[in-house]
Amino acid sequence: MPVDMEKVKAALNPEEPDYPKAAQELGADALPHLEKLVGGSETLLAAKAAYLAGLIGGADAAAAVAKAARSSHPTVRIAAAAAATNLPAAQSDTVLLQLVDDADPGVQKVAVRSAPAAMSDALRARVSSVRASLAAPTAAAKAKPKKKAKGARRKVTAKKAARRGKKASRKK
Amino acid sequence: MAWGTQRNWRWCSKCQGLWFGGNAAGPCPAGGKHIKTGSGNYSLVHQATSAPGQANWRWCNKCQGLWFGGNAAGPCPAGGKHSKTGSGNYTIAHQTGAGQQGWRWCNKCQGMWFSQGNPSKCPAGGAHSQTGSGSYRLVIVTQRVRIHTKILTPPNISIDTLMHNMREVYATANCDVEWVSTENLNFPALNDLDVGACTMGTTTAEQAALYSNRNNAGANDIVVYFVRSTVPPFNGCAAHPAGRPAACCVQTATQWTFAHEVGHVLGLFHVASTDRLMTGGGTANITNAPPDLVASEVATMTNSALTANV
Repeated sequence: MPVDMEKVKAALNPEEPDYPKAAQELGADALPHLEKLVGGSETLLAAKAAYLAGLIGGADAAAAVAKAARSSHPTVRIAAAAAATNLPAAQSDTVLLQLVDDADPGVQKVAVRSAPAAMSDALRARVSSVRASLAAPTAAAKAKPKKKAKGARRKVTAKKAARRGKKASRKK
Repeated sequence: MAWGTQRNWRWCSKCQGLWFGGNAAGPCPAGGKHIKTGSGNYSLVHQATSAPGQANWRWCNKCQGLWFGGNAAGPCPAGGKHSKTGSGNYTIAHQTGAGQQGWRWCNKCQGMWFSQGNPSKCPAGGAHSQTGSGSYRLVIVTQRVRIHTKILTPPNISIDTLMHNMREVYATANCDVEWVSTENLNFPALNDLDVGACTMGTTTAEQAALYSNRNNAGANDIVVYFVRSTVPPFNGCAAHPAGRPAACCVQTATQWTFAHEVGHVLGLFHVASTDRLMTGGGTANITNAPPDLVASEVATMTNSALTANV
């Protein structure tokens, strides 16, 4: 049975699509339809299509995911970032390099999370940088009281030093 | 919160009128006091800002009856005219919607009465009149579920509409939907929620973090979180940590996703038919609004610890 658009939509319409089952049953024949849906006006369907394309895999899947990564809708780009994890390393790298610097923090979050252990140096550098910037507010919040504590310790040390100095002078 | 529900409205078999049974019975135009013998427990929507139906129905503190406050007050069986002092603003499903049909407005006394029972008795004299009345529907309930909403991103279809749709479907199971509270949450990092495979009994760290926010919710209350999207992309997901009944719905979900996900939380599973709320083919394909709940599903809902008899 050929895979037509109706079949593809039927797999994606459920509230909670069974992506692994759909990828197995539809296979690569679904990819042209998925690429069409990625560019469609229904953003939820476009996001589902991008994610399924990633699971199906292969060169044509990468084209659909890359198209999703260029979408003007953040939720479609998020799906592209999540789908990239299933693409071959080279294609995954290209998509994630684009999305890891996305202006939308949700896209960034998923892109960073999707970065595989084996990634290009360029992607590794960007992921490290984004991870650091995402973690920065927490680090700053933790740093504040530490600074105060350090300052407090210094004051005590200074007082102690003064006392020690006095004691030393008494001894003298 | 956009509206609440109030149960314990009763049909009086003597005068056919609707009256509030949460207080002592008021005087009945048929003589004596209103009675609730043989009546179901009716649940009315009140204080609605946007619920579908006709607003401005009022409770009379003299006779306990329901009357239409959009016109001059009609005669009250307690004497004088009906009063709206102390009343909420009730919205009644009009012409369409779930519930028991046959309810009418009386143009003589402004009261709500049931036209398919025994002969009626109007406080203005004679029988009630249905001339000029629309067809009103009232929901009879035997159980209830309590819902809280937490909003990270508002859905494209208003929560009022989603809640109303859920009320319509659940009314067919005589289940009252109580919208107990709503709250905005500012958690940008959880707005695109990682739900993993969305399998019942298994949750991600992000689901656990978000679903720990249960302000105002009791142990058996269901909290629905509105997020921008899920990862991977779903319309919603009902998987939740043990002891924290919850679900999430995404911004672009359908008008039935909310009721569908709550159905999962209550123990319902997917079915093949697209006429039913729990269709596994996508609620976007539902054409027979409101979609069906079958007897076995109603039994599952009734047996759920998250519903209670009323």
